[in-house]
Amino acid sequence: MSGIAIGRLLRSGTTGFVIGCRVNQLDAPSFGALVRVPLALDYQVYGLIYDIHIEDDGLVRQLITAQDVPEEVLRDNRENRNVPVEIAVLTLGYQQGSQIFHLLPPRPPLSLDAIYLCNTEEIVNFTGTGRFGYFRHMLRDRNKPIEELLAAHLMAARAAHESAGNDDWFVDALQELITLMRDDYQGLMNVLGAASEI
Amino acid sequence: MPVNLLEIQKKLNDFSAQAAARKQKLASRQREVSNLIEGYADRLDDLREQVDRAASMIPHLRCAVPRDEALDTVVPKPNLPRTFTVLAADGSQINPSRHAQVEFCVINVGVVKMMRGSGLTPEIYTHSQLLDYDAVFLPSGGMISEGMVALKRDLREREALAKLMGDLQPPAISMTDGPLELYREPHETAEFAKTLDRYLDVLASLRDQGLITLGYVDKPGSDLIGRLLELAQMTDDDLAAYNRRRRRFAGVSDRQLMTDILVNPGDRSALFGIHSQTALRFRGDLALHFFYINVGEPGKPHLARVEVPNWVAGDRMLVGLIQAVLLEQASIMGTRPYPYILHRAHEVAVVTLPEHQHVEEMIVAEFQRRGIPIDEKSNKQYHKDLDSTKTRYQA
Repeated sequence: MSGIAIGRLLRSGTTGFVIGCRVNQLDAPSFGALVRVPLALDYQVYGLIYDIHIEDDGLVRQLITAQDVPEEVLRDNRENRNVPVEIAVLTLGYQQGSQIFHLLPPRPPLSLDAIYLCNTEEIVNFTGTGRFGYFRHMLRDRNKPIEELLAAHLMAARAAHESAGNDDWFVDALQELITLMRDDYQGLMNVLGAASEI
Repeated sequence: MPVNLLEIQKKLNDFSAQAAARKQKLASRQREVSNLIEGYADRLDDLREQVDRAASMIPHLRCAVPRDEALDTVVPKPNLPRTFTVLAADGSQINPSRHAQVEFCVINVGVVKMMRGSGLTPEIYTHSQLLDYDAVFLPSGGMISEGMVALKRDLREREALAKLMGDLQPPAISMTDGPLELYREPHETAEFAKTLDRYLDVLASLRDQGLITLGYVDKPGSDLIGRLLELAQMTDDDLAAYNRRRRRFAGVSDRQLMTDILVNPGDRSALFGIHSQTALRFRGDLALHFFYINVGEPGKPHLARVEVPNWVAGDRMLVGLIQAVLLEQASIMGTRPYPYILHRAHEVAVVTLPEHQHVEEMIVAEFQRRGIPIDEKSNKQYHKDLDSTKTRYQA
C-alpha cells in the first residue's frame, strides 16, 4: 500500500500525534485531511489533521524586519533551513487486517513512522464503515476548532463518497451529528452553519 | 543564585562614572584625530614617507597606509548588477581537550552559494575534517593549540571556496567572516609559516580564477587609521621613543571616526593598505587593503571593515560591486545589518554540543572495537556534563 508521504512522526499519544515535515513538503497536507500511519503489514492508525503549525526562529524573526526579501532567500529558508512544519493529527481509529475500527488504537505510532494522505478509496472505506463512530473522537475536545474541522472533513468525505456513487453519505453524516449534538444546541448550530458552506 | 547582585549593584555607581569619564576623554581624542584626517586628507605622500620612516624604527608597527584616495574620501555605492554569484564560507571546530575520553580535533566548514537574480535555491556545502591523530600532538609532547586549530580552520574556509570557483556565474564574490590577514598566535612557528604559505597559494588561485575575495569585519575595533595619524606628527625622536602601550590616540577606533564621514548606506571610505609583520607576507597582487563601508539604514549608520587583496583594491569596478553586494546582503537582515550569506554559512558550519558528543562517541566506539585503550573523562568534565537542569543549584 503506497500513497503520498507527507512527513514523519515527531511525537504521539493514544488520542493524537504530531508529524514533522519540511516547508517544501507542505503542498499535500491540508486542514481536515484524513491520514494514515502504517505500523505493520496489517495494522495502521487513522487520523484527521486539525492544526498545521510553522515554527519561527531568530533568523526568520530578523528577516521579517527587512524591506525586501529576495526569492533566493525565501527558498533558502523554506528548503535548506531545518525549520519543520508541525502537523497535529487527531486519532480517529485504526485498521487491523481488513477490519476498520472507530476506536482508539491499541498502541500509538512510533517516532519517525511515515504518514500518508488517504486516497479517495481509503477515505470511503474508513468513513463508510459502521455508523460514524469516529465522530465522537472529533466532538470530544472542545479546545479544537471542531466546527471548522467537521466542515472540512465532511466536504472531503462527501466528495469521495459521491465519486464512489454514494450520494446519501453526506445526509447520513449530518443526521448522525444532529443526534450526537442534540444536547449542545449552540455547537450543533455552529456545525450546521459550517456545513451549509459546503 | 550564583552571582551576588547586591555586590554588583554597589559597584555600579563608580563603574558608570568611570565609563562616562573615559568616553569623554575618547571623544576629545576622536575630535583631534578627525581634525588630522581633514588636515592630512591630501598629504598622502607625506604620510607614506612617515610610515616608511616609522617602520624602520618600530619593529612591530601596525597601521594603515594611504593608497591613492584622500583620507576623507566618500564613494557612494553603484547599482547592483541584475545577476551575480555570492559565496560565503565559515568554519567552526572541536578543539582537542585533555579532559575528554579521547583527544581529537574536528574542523567543520560550511559554504553557501547564492546566485542572485536566478530565483534558485542557494546551494549548501559542508566539509568536515577529523584531523589526523598524529596532528593533534606536537613533537614537544603537548597538544595542538587553539590558535593553530583556528589557523587551520581559516585555511580550510578559503580552500572550501576555491573548490567551487570553477563553475560560477560571473561576477562572483566570495567572503569570510573576519580579516583576510591571518592575525593569530603563534606567528613564528614553522607550522604557522607552512599554513600561511598554503593560504597565500589559495588566495592566488582565487585571483587567477577571478573570484573576488573579501574578509568582512562587523563592529570593527581596529584603529589602523588612528595609528597612521598618530605617526603623522612624530619627530624621529618621538618615533624612537614610540611605545605601543602608551599611545596618544589609544581607544579611538576607526569605526567611530568614519561614522561621521560615511553618512549614506553603501558609502565607502578611502582604500588603505595595511602595514604589519603579517601583512608584509602578503605581497604584490595579494597585498592587503581595507576600507570601511556603511551597511546601515538612512539615519542609522552601521559600519563594517572590509579587507580585500590588492588586485581587487586596484579595480574600482570590483570595489563598487563589493559595496553594492554587501549593502544588499546586509539589508536582507533588516534592522540588524550583517551579510545574510555569512550568517547562513555560520549556521551551516557551527558544531553543536550534541554533534560534538556524537563524534566523540563514534571515535570511542571505533577505539573499543579495535581494542585501543581509552582514557576516562576527567572528573571535572564529568561533573560539568551532568544535566544542570536536574540540580537544586540552578532552576
